[in-house]
Amino acid sequence: MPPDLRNDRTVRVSDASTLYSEWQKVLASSFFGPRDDSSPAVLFVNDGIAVEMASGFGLPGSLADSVQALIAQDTRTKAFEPILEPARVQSRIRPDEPPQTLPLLAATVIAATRMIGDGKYRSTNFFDRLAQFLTADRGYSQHYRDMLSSSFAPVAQAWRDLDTWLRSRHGRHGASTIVGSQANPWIGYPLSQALMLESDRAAITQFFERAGLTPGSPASGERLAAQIQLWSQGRALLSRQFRHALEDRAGREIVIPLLADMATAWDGVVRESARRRLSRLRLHLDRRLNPTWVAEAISGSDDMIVCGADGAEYRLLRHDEAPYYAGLTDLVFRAEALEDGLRLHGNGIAAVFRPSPIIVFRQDKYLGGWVSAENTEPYEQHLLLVHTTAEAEIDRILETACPRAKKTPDNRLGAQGWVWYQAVVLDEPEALAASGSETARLLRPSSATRPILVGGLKIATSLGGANYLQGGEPDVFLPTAGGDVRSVVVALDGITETLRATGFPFPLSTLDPPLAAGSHTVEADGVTLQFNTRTTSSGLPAAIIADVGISIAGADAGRSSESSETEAIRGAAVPGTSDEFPLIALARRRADRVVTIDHQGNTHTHEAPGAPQWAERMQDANGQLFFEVKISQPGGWLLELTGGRWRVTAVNPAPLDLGSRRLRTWSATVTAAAEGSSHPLWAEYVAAARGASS
Amino acid sequence: MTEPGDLLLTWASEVGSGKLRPLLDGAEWLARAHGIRPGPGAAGRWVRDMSSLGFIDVDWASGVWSISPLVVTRIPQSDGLAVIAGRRDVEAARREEDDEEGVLVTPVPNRLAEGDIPLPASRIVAYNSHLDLPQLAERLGAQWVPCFALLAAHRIPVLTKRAPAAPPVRGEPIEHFGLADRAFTEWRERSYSDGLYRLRRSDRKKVYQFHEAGEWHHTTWEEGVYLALDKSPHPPIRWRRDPAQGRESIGQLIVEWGAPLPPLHSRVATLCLGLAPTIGSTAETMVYDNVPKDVAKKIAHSLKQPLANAL
Repeated sequence: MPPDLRNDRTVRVSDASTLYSEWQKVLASSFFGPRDDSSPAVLFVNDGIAVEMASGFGLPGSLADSVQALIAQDTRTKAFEPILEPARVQSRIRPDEPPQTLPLLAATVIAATRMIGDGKYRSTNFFDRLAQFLTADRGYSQHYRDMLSSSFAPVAQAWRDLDTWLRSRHGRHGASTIVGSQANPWIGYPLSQALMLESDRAAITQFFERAGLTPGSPASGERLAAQIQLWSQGRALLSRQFRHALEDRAGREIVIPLLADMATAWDGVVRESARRRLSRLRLHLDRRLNPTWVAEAISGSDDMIVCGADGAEYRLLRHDEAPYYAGLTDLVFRAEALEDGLRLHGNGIAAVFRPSPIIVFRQDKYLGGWVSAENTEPYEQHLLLVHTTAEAEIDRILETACPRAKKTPDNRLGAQGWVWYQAVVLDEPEALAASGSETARLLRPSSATRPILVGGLKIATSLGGANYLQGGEPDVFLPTAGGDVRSVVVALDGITETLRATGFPFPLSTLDPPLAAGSHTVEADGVTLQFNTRTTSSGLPAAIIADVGISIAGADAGRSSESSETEAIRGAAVPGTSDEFPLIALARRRADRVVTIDHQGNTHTHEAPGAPQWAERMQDANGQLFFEVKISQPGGWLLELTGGRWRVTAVNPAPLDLGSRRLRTWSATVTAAAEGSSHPLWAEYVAAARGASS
Repeated sequence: MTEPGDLLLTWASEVGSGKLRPLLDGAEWLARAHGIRPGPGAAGRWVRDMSSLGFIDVDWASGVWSISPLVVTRIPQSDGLAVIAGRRDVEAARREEDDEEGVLVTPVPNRLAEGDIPLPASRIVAYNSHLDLPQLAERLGAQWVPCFALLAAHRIPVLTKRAPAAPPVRGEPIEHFGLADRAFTEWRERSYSDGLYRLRRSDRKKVYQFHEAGEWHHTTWEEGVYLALDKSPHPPIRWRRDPAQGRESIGQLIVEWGAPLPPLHSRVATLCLGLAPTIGSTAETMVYDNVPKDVAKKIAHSLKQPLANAL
């Protein structure tokens, strides 16, 4: 008896439904299981993963079969309804569970990965790949392919529903990474899951941090794409497929809105992988170059347990806003880590030291001593720990880039095959730019990922924005291409010039002619940097941050401190300037005779001293015309005889108080100089002197 | 073009006050922009010189600075010279340039050693009469201080130990100031001998503390050195008279590198001439010119040092 076709179909649909639900369960638990952190949830499935899952979970059929069996064949626009309709019902009944569309959506992701493999990011290509996948590469008709395409609008809606569901769970099943693309409204969703591997997403958070992005604030996707390309050039940071998409025009159309969305959605967390935040392990050397490990702090994670490969546990504790965790003092440094790297794992965190043939150390203001760093900084002091494989190249580069550097064999870390270079200061951009080697790339300063303004003499910082004193214009820093020198077209106030980005800043403060005061723009790499220069900060709001003086009384006498007390010396201002201070008169050096007299009958004759030791240093300021004459309080007269004529200068003279004294020298001098002044008090002195001598 | 040292003073004057780090960074950055490679510690020396010249006041412990008031003050026994110290913002510079009352203000450059960050030129005034200066000060909007060096010398307090401090944190690097080489070296003993130490506190701040008879006291680098050098057989301060006839009571104050003067002492000595001290490289000393012997004695006395006569 021929089998009852209707019955047979019922059985097969039932089998197919079971298979579909099995896949739904496996995909739900694998990709959207409950989690403590809100790490990103990505439904990334490719052919390999689908095969592995089928065998790993003992599923009775392939992912393609589970979807294909349910697809309606006798329709033009409702091919996916047998999947979507029950899913809608299920969502209403069980809103806590992921929508029952995961196998279908996973199939679209596989189609996207195949499309990416082709490097053709077009819808037509996508539906070919989807048809191919669903029919298990057994061949498909043009009609079938068109049906998938015409039926796809509700699938795009299913992606949006999954996005909504993930968001409604507030991260308990992972943060949604589903984004659409205006250029590709339907296939953008699966591409958003397929184009970037988890490692790409993690790397991009590292880029965001490096680029100084503010979490949650929008950024131009186009600019980010260009910057990521520069940043990742020559380094194995991104997957081949993602790099390929970045280089392809159609690929960029998808990647650019994706990056913009990722930037807006970024929570400021730097990731090592989808599930793990990244803390960079740094090697700290004290002044004696004793090595210890430190882990860079991650905001929001102040107390964690991590464990090493040997199972030893370490508690990472962060005090206040310290940039490093405490707690790794027991993690013994072993020289092998220099070549093998070091990883510590914890719940949702990985602390990682990546090996490199050149380890750069910079001085650390927080820890003191030296701390290993990602890159060099122009003009700063560095220590380099270099593997012998790179030694010859470093010798060659430093010969011109920093001839002062000192090479010494390692006797501190017990590291076989490593040498130290001390006092490495990179201040010769061209010396470093000349070499295009991998070693030069590792050595070249390359801290910024986009054009930025650095240095300069900033004023009115409380205003925000970039205001600089004229003459103290900032330098422009142009990023290298992953450490490689490149040419960049830079426009300063609209005037373009091609400059070489060498990892060193370009000064704008020493341009000839200098920049006029006012607003200026620098455009490079699609970034516009704006700054103002002013001749003065007057008229701008000023913030008084400190008022420092040197106390002259109390327990802190002699100490500089911020103080409101008036009894403090500030600069050359002394409180309570005294009157008992001796008066000074200036006498002409060419005078034949210099005499001072006072109101009590005293007379002093003064000789011009020799020229001071320092006279030459001051020769521009001083014509050596005068010498100082002290006049005791309350004051008196300066008498100068030049060429037979007396000149009399009043220096705060006091009324006469001679008493009964009759002093011959005083009287004779005053009488001789009687014509020297028309000061009314002088006339009294003259009269008294004449009376005395008569 | 404005000289870099003068631009830095204008900048500090326009900014007014702030944290030390941006000031140090700005000074270092401008030096580099003008082709100078600042040597180790150059920015710190620049700030100390700026303080000694009476341009800025610095609180190293809190890491802040502020611009000092604009002052006209006389240089002692100088044949009629005064110096303008303190704030020189654009407005102050304009007033000085517009002043046509016949008082000559001359910028006199400060000498620099290799790798030093440029200092502003000292503004030296040649006056003709004792009445000129108060009037000049008024026209410039400055304070008139008859003679900072002589006035402040009277106000220098005698060195004392500061407030008690917590003992050092175990396990952190600590350095001891050696009297023989006048330098800091790592201290590895379990117990501490008396003297000056440089260490990192539990809040990670680098501080100087003085240890004596089992007690710790806060101090500063400069004060701590002199506390340590108390009764040293080799006093670090000497004085040498000006050889010119009639200038017996004035001369050079010579201070060893390893024992720099505290800020107020250094400012008093510097403003005796109004020019930054120069380095006597061969003898590893700082030389302050035109220091009256009385002032030198007060400086030495306040640091508990005898004033030796230099040959």
